[in-house]
Amino acid sequence: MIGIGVAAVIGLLLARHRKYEFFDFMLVVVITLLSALAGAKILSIIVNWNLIVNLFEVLPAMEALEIVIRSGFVFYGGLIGGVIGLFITCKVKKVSFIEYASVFGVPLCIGHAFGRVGCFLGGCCYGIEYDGILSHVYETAIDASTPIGVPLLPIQLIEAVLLMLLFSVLLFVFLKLNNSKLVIYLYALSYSVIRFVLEFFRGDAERGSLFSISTSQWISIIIFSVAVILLVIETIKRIKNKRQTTNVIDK
Amino acid sequence: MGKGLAVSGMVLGIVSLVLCWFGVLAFAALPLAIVGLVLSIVGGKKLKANNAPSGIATAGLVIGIIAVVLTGIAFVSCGLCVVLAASVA
Repeated sequence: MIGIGVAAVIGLLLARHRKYEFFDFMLVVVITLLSALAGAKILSIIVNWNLIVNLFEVLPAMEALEIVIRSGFVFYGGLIGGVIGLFITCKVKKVSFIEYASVFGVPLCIGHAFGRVGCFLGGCCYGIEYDGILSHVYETAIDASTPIGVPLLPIQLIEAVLLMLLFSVLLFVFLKLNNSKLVIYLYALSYSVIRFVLEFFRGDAERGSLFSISTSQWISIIIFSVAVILLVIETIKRIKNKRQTTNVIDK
Repeated sequence: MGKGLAVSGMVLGIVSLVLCWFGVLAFAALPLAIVGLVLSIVGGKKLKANNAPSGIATAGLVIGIIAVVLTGIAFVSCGLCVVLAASVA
């Protein structure tokens, strides 16, 4: 909740910096957040399909449905859902998707960081067993699968620190360099690498995997690849345009 | 037209704020809060477009945000913890 509040304030300040009309921006925010919620829920259901089927076998249907609705959201699902919602909204309103995406991306990063702190405090999204410095032992946890009395790597806090560093960089690029595209590319490339690496140190393996690579790692690979391909295409276009401009000047 | 939408949004926000305290009614409160929020925003846009005061739309927006946050807390928990607890049981 604190993360959402901080992200919301920063988002509103960045929107004001870009001189967006308040109610216009709020409408885009609401549609994007609803899409993000839907995406986070859908991916959670996909990733935990076997567990959910088991739940419907064990409990009455209405009770199982209530549990499924109330719990389980995956960040990447939210990100993908939010991006799709924002893209469609920007197309309808005929505004720049990249500009709006950068206004959303910067506060999303810090909100995510706070969220990871929340995960640490609640005991979910826990790390592998680890008995060194900064290891943490849970006496109780919200997540019933969290090992109790076992020293764990505080992977949630590690990710939170990395996200805060990334947020500082993104904020600098947004405010000082005023480059929306660079904000998006930096976020996509950096977070996909961070997430891919940190997934090896996650202890909650029941989230789902394919060929020993977790769902989040697969999504990280896809996001990184798409970002690199788009960056290469843009660089080639820029070089071609520069050559054409040089040829015209020479003539 | 804008004022009507803004007032409707505010009313829905207040109704959802009341409903979210009554257990299973939180299921109805969240969609009401979201609809109220959207109505307040659309009403505010129309009022601003006609250079009319948009105070009531802003009030509806604030109430809507509070309603969404509170109903969200009443409605949702973090992680698949409860699902896992049920599967372990």
